[in-house]
Amino acid sequence: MLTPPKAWRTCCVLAVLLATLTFTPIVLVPDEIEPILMGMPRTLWLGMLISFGFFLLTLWGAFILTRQNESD
Amino acid sequence: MWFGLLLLAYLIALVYALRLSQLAEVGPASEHSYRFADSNVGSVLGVLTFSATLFSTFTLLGLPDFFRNHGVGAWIFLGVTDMAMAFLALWFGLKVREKISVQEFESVSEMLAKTYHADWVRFIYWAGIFVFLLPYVAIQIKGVSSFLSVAFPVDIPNWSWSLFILLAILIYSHLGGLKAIIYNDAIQGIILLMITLLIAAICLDQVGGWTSMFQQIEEQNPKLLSIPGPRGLLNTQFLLASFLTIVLMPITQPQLFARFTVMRDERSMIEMVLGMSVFVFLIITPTIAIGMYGAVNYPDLPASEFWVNTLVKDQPEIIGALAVVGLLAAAMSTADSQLFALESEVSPTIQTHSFRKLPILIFAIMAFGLAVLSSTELVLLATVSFAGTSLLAPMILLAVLSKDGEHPPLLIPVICGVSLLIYLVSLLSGFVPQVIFGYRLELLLLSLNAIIVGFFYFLREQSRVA
Repeated sequence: MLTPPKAWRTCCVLAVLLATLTFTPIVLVPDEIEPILMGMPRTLWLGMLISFGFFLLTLWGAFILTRQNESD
Repeated sequence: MWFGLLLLAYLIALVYALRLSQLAEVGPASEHSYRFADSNVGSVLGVLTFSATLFSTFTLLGLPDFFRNHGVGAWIFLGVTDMAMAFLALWFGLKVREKISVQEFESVSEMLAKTYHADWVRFIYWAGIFVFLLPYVAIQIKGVSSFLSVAFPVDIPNWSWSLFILLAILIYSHLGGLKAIIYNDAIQGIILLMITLLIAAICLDQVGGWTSMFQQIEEQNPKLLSIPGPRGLLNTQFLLASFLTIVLMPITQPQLFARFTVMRDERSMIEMVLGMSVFVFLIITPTIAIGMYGAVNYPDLPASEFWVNTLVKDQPEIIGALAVVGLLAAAMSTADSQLFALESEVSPTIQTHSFRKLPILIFAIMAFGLAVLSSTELVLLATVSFAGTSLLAPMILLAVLSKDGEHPPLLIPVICGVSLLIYLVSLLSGFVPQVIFGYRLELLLLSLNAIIVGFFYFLREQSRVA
């Protein structure tokens, strides 16, 4: 199991990677609507997925930092 | 009739919140209690005050209009950005609390002056926040006043509404300090969220549901379903520049920075950030439906007519009235925190204690004047306020990360000050171009500052290890 400082560092690296991924052609494809998911065009559902990714990282980070804070 | 009744109910709720904030006093009223709410704010209140402060009238007006004109890329512009901001706020909030536990400070500018060991550094920060935040407050007040004068059955001029809003803010800020603002923010945040969800549900129902809405858009204007949108605005560079400038808001904007310091403990602060990220999802998702409803029904109308039609005229009377009250709440909750934060930056430098509550009155008068005399330059400064204040981020970040007794190089605030000046000149005159070699100026300045600060931070870490 990762120690809190290591887990937090992993969490930060993942956040930076996710932010970088957002601005690559994998996510931002001009004039591309397909594939459609639940009626939503590509940019929207991918954007929502990234937002959800940030939410999960914030949740994980909150858990790590709370644990670290309590053990301090 | 509904508007009058709901406005009355809203005002009663504000008075009740003020009373609640006074009942929640843990000791005798003091300057610390006035300015820092006894540093005893719990996580639920924290979520609501942070969110209400963050989400201004832009949420109910600007963002739907953004979706209507530029399409689904607006989600990347704000949905992704605000969630990333929550992650940064988690880390930065704890760093701020760490800093305040080793170095006492009452405001961001005081922290900067103490850390850099130079009093003039605070003036750079003041310049940045006054130049960009006061126009932002003024434009919000002006926008919502125009809306109220249209919605209210009796003919009341815009300036009277502006005066009424600012007076209400001044009264509860003066009587209850930050605690009253936080309690009022809680009410205003709930109202804003409920109204946005309600209007979105009605809009969605009228366009035949989520999937049908996108199908209609595809038939009418398919460019709205991808980036860069019909007008070509939401390209990678614009989205990246917006991402960086908005993500840095908790670092640069004093009203958000202050929210970290007033929380009861670290756990409450962490829960506040987590709750705020849920609030982001809950409030931004409905604006897609409101915006797309506008794109289907009012694609070519000017923004003001789209807002009046979508938020008021197309809604049942009570919902339309609620929307106007929601807008009032959104404007007040952001403006009160910004005015109070501006006051808190200046007050500690005033020696005479009885005059320490005076700056908020002066800032309110200035905001009123600016709202009445609104000019093109003012609107421009308000719209780029995030970008403008983001240029201050490197010097604040380095100060917060500095350990007690460490003084980062004075070159950093100098660089931030010069960047701010260059950016201002580029906005207000054609002397400096806003795009250089195909890159947006704020992006270039931010990147340059980040490289320099990163270099100094790396050097400091190396010397620590050595």
